[in-house]
Amino acid sequence: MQPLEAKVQCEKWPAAPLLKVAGLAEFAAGAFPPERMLLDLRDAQVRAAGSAICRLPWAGFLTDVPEHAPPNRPWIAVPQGAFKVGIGDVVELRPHASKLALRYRRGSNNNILFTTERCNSYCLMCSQPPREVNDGWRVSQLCDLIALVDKDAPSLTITGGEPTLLGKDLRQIVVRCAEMLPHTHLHVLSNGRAFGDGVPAHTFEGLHPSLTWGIPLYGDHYGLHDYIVQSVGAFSQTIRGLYALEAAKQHIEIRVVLVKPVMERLIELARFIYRNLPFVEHVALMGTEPIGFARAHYDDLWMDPADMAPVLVKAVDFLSKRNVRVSLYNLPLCVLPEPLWAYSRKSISDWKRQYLPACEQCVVKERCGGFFSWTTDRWTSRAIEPVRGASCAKH
Amino acid sequence: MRKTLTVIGTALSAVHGVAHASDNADKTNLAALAQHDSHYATTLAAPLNLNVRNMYASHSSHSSHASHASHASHSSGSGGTYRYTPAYTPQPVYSPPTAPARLLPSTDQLKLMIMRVQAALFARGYDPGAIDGEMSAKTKEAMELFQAAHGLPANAKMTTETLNALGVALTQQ
Repeated sequence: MQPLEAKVQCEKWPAAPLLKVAGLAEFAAGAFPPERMLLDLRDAQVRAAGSAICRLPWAGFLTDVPEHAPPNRPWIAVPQGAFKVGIGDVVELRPHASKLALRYRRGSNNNILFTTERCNSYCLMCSQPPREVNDGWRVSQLCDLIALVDKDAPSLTITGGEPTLLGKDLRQIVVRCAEMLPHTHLHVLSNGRAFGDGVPAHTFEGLHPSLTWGIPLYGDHYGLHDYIVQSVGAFSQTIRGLYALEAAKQHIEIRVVLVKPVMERLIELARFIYRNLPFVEHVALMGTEPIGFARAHYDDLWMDPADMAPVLVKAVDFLSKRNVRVSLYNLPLCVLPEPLWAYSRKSISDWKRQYLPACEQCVVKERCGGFFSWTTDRWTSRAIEPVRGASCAKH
Repeated sequence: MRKTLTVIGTALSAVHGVAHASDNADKTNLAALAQHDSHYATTLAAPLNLNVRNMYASHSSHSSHASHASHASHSSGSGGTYRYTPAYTPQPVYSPPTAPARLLPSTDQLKLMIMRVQAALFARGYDPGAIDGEMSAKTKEAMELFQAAHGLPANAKMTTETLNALGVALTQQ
């Protein structure tokens, strides 16, 4: 796992800036003003380009050798072993703490806009346990970040916490994305409860050319759903929220985390979605991320993915036969029956993905999403083994 | 769910540029690579500079710009200090609607645009002499080479087509 924050050396920085790392192509393209960019002096081409380019009003310079930075100009040196900062990335420097944090990584499959640490649910398997903090300052910072994201970024995920707790500010962030990044798909991860509890969903109608709401539903019955999210009344709010979003012509994805109690009624849940939520465009069935609250609830939640196979096959079959698009996330290929491989997606973010020693001999490693880098032995299926050539040929 | 965008983009033109400069075997490898990459790459949905007025197109040399020196006063920049101004200035309201005022870049804007073109050429393996904002003989030569390699008229002018192929945008945020 790559940590996303590191102690760095830096000098002559005035405030806490958000900076775009630039090479020659970024300067040539002119999509961002030099005042917002950090010229990457570690890049051989930039160094070969001569000194005139350094005289432009760059916010500062990224270098391995501080002496190479032009005199009296701000610079940052990222030490060896810290996370890699590359051209096109956006970083946030906190000069007083000498901390550099990565806010956008060019080419990553999962760049996020983190809206808040607050949440109105308290899910048993939450990977990002909520904190009741006042972090409204994030909104303006996100709006600033959006301006520095590559115009051709394929997608951004708006997440938290619960993004709808931002109220009107969430709309502002979406509008900002529509203005600055009209070609970038937005994926908002929300429990949708706010839209079932008075927040008007129609304020999002027509706001963005390509936006999908990813909303979790854990059961066909309020008892099960409310238990998983540890909030009384959550099921009915989420269901009402789903209908409100549908009425506002929003694209909706249902996300189901495959913990033991959910697996016990997964087929019923698939039927429920098909019958009552036929407008849902995609159903994501997701393996548990073994971090946060999930670790504390191991006994209640853990089910070996190898034992999920019969139910998964049935549920996937039920939905896909009825033209509901379905995908499997966070489950390695070797624990899935081969007919399900076509539904499996490489869903684990590149920065938190790892493979196990057994994967070295596997012929489908490239297609496989691997494991969360914080996976421990007891969160690992007994069925992990390298897939051999013969098995692949059949496919 | 991911929206795939197609059309002309810098990624493609970059591959193009290198392919021209190398032999056939490399070309095949590059084509295979590009095909492989296309699964992951996002290219821009439209030509970079679509419906944007290009006030730099007629400038093939910086020295010829000296005749427009008086226009420097139109610039929003003050004196010799470098100011970052958008390349496209909206048509002033007072100009007669029948004959729109000819938009000319300020000296700083032109210099910066030339620097950006030089940087783009250099990043693509052409030698513009220096990245200094001067439209030197060496820069013109590099531009002509680049234009010829991309099927564009080799006139060393910063035409919109040339800027598109170089990945240089006319507008700025």
